[in-house]
Amino acid sequence: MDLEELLERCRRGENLAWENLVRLYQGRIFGLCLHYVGNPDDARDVAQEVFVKVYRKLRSCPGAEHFLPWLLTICRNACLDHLRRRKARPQTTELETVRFVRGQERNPEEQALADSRKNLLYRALQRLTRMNREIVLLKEIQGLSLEEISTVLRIPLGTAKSRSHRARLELAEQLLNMPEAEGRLKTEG
Amino acid sequence: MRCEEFEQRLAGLTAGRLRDPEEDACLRHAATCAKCTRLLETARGDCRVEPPNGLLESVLEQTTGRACGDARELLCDFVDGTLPHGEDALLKGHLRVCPRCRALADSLEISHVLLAELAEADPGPGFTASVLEETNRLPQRPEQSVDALLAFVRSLFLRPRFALEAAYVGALLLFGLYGLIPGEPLQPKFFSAGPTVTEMHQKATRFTSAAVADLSNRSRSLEILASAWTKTTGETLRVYSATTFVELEGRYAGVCTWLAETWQNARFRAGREWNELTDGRPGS
Repeated sequence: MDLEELLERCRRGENLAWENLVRLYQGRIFGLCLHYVGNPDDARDVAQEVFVKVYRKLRSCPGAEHFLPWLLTICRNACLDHLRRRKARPQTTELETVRFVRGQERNPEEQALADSRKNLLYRALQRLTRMNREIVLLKEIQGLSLEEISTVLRIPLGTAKSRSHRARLELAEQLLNMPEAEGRLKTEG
Repeated sequence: MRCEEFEQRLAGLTAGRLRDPEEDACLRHAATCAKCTRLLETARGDCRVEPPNGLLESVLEQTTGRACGDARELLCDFVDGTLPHGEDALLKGHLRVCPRCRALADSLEISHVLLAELAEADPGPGFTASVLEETNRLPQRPEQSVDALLAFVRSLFLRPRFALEAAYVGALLLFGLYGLIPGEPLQPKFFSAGPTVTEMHQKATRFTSAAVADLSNRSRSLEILASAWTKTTGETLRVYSATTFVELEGRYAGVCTWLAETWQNARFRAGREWNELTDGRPGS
């Protein structure tokens, strides 16, 4: 079933469709919350709060094409509200405590290298400035377009474009500057 | 053939201009002489001579400086594979000789591949069930328009520029209403057709004083008439004394001040009352 139909069924109040929608996006929402909030328990609470908000706004939610940016905007606002309420800075969780869902098929040796690189990357991400981290989160991790990012973050498209380049370079430099990165960042070929 | 003769014929040999016997003689000599063989290879471009260490760096230092800044600008597009062909070749050339930029490119490439794998995380068992439990408790209701309006107003307040914009609009309103001329009484500009508050207060005071003086004079005349009436008829007449009207003047003045203040808040209503008070006819 395509997303448009799933949303339509959710709007009609079909519980099964709603359950499917939650299953479809829970990984993404929890992942984004985790990046913002930094703590799995808090991220779980905020993710739940996000879905309750989505449920309340189902009738006014956009069509399939704009659903993901809309959903991620709600998620981002909920995370920022949570941090504001707690007056807290995001914490950094060790990646070992979190299971990321998607990944290519690799042999055990390659998988171990990829995991250690992901760990480095996750920690390097926490060292970025808030704006750069958000842009990397939305563009490189969640796969939004620059136009969608400019809408979510309420910044001009040109700013989103130039910041996106800068943020990626900053992340790559942070990775290089991490002492643990020695010898783990060579690409094949 | 001697080496000197070989060198004289070298240009013709590499260009293929020699006759066959001459060419054979040259090649036979080259086969026996290591120096002339190297000379021939160099002339044909077969022999690459390694440049001395640091030559590139010293040339760049004296000309444009290192190209790392320009290379950095192109690295993201290079990793994404969206760089035009010419620039792609130039950047590859730079990456071959610059280990720092090469390392940055590697780091970008790794992050490009692995970041996408950080998108989804497993919230653990029971997450879906707890969300459904939470949402099943809520009645699904159409979004209220009031809610939408409140959300809009809230979003306005959350904008960082809202305070600046509000201050700007407030300042414009103030200047528009009251103008900027120093020393002038604060009087809304679009009310300037009528009298000012001060003028109205002065008029009211003048009117009250005149009215009280008139009543006071009449009262004195009445007092004289009443005393004459008492003397002739023996009956006592009750008359308000002139001092009563002087006391009343104070009260009228208070009323006038109150009217002036009321007028400042609701000009037209106060104006109507003022017309009634001064001309004795109802306001239009």
